[in-house]
Amino acid sequence: MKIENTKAQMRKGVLEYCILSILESNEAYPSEIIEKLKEGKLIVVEGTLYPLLTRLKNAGLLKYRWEESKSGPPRKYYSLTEVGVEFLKELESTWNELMNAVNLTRKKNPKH
Amino acid sequence: MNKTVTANISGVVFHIEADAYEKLHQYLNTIKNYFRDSDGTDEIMADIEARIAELFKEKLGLARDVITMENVKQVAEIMGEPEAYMDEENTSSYDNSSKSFYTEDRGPQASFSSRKLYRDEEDNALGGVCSGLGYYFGIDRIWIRIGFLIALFGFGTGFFLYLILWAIIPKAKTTSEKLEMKGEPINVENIGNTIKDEFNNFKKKVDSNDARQFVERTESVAMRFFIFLGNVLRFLFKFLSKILGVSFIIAAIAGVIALIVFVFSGPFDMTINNANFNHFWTTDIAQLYFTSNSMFYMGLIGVVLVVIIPLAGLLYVGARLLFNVPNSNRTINLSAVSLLILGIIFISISGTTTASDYAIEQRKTETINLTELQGDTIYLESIGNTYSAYRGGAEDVFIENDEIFMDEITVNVVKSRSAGYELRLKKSAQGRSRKLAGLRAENIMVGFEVEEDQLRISPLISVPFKDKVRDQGVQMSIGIPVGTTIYLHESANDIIYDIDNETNMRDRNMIGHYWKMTEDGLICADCVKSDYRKSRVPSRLIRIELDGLNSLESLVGLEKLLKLKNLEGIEKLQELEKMSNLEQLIELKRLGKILEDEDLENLELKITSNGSEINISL
Repeated sequence: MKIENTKAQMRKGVLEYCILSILESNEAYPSEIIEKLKEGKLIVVEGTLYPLLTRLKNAGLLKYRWEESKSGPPRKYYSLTEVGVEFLKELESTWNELMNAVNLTRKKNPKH
Repeated sequence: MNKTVTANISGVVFHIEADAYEKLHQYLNTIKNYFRDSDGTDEIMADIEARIAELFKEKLGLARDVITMENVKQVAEIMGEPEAYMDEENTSSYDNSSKSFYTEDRGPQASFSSRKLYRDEEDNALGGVCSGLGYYFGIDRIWIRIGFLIALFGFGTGFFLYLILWAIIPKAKTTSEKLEMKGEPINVENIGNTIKDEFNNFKKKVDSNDARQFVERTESVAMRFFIFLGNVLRFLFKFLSKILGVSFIIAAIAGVIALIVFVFSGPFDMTINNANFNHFWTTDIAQLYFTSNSMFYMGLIGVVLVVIIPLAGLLYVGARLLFNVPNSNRTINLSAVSLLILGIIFISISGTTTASDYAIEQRKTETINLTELQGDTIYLESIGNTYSAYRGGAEDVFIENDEIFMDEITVNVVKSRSAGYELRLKKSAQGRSRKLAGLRAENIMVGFEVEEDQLRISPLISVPFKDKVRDQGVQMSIGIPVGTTIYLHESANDIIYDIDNETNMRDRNMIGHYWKMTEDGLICADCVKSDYRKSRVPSRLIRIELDGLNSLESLVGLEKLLKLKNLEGIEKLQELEKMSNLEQLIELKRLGKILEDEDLENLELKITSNGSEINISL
């Protein structure tokens, strides 16, 4: 079993959850999302984000609208669809459950 | 001065330096290739390009309006190399070649905080080997650098060790790899710290120009030395790889030329209808050796494939060393390997099919009575005439009027089994079956002429064209009755082979002499001592046991023997030669038995009679 795979999978799940969370309160264009993810220390290179956004959009969780920009090409402003909102709720509860589970397990085995 | 081009990136027009454009183009292509298989490639690419355009806009501001190589590099760093996405994106296919550098597992949990060996390219003097080792062993990298420096003067071990480590230790690329290298537990906080470091590092790089960077990085003499060494090494590597590249290309081209020469000429010299078809593959030649033309072409194509593909590989490697040739793609590699395998299969099929037609050998014997041959003495000649030119050449075979001619005949002289002269033929040929081989053996024709006391034999045998060259050959024995004599004409030298004779003389020395058949074999009828000497074969020396002194006397005369015994030196030699001219000796030999051979120089005639011995020696 490769540790790389496990870690990548963990990170991938968390990353999707975080993107959806960022878009929960208001819409944002990729650079804003990147800024936030960088603040949250979740991604290293920006290139990672674009395929993820496209995938979430294709899965019907995100939608976008175009907006002109003064500093370059027009921007895509992403926001959650209704499905996306539902999905995020699901993820939220799962995350909380997982946190609890992890905390519980760790408490039971204090030496780790 | 630098040429600029205009590029439209996501609808925004940029002026970009030509080399920077190339770099950007390459970068985008790599990303595109990476996303080739996922859906929405175009959209992802459009997004990425839009972001790149935005980044360029931000970077350029108002001060400059040309994008430089440096700008492209910065943007590529921000966006990241596809290899880095792989770790984030693709969870299954990333095969980490650094597996062997895993530290020992100290329990399942321990591996999270255990360190891995990576090269640290953020804090490098050369390849980041020392820095990576420093993290791995938990000591300051400066000590390791000093260690390498000391080892450098120990017969250059440090130098080679460094090169090897540089080559085998992977670079820490992704955040998690960098953390693994430093041995910090991987959690969100630490990832954050690393990213912050990275960002600061990046910012520093962006902010500082090259000169400042250099000053910052060269804080110590040791470091400056390493940077110098690095530059020398880089240059040396580049230089060596260029030389290697040139020699690879030259070797590959030479190979291709050799192959072309081989394909369009061929290993055989051929004479067809008296015209020299030297160095040409023709279908005729193919048919001589291969079972069919298609088998010949299959074999030839196989050989070409098996030779040309490694040559193409060599050419490619050479080109890569010399120029910036892109990585070979999978499809090309795969098809090259399949063509190579195809070539091997072709050669095997062609080879085994052809070889199977040589598998079984059959012999046929035949006796021809030479009733027309007259006289007690016959003369053996070889038919030279039209083929003499051929005989001089190195050709194996030639074709005339649907017949294949080969010089696969050997002629021996033996005692006849009948009262008259005869020719005994042993024909042999090969084929895929006993029957076919036998048929081919029977089809072999030998040529000979008889005219009064002359026997002329052709040095060539012929087979029908359809029989192909299948190791056909004829062993011919001329049978002559006891008491008759055969004269070997000079031309017979071409055909005679290992004729048995009682004086063990070699074939070429037997030429030009009369040979008489006795009950025991051939005896030279007109040879003198010098002929034997010439032959350098030990001449016959004779110890003879006789029934009685009487028979000895009646043969040679005791007087003669005693006279011999008393003579000395040259006189004895002359007398003995007279005596051994050699009807008498032949008779002596018939009566007695040859017990031993001795060198001519110690010629000894030893005759025992009822226990009493007469020794005659020179």
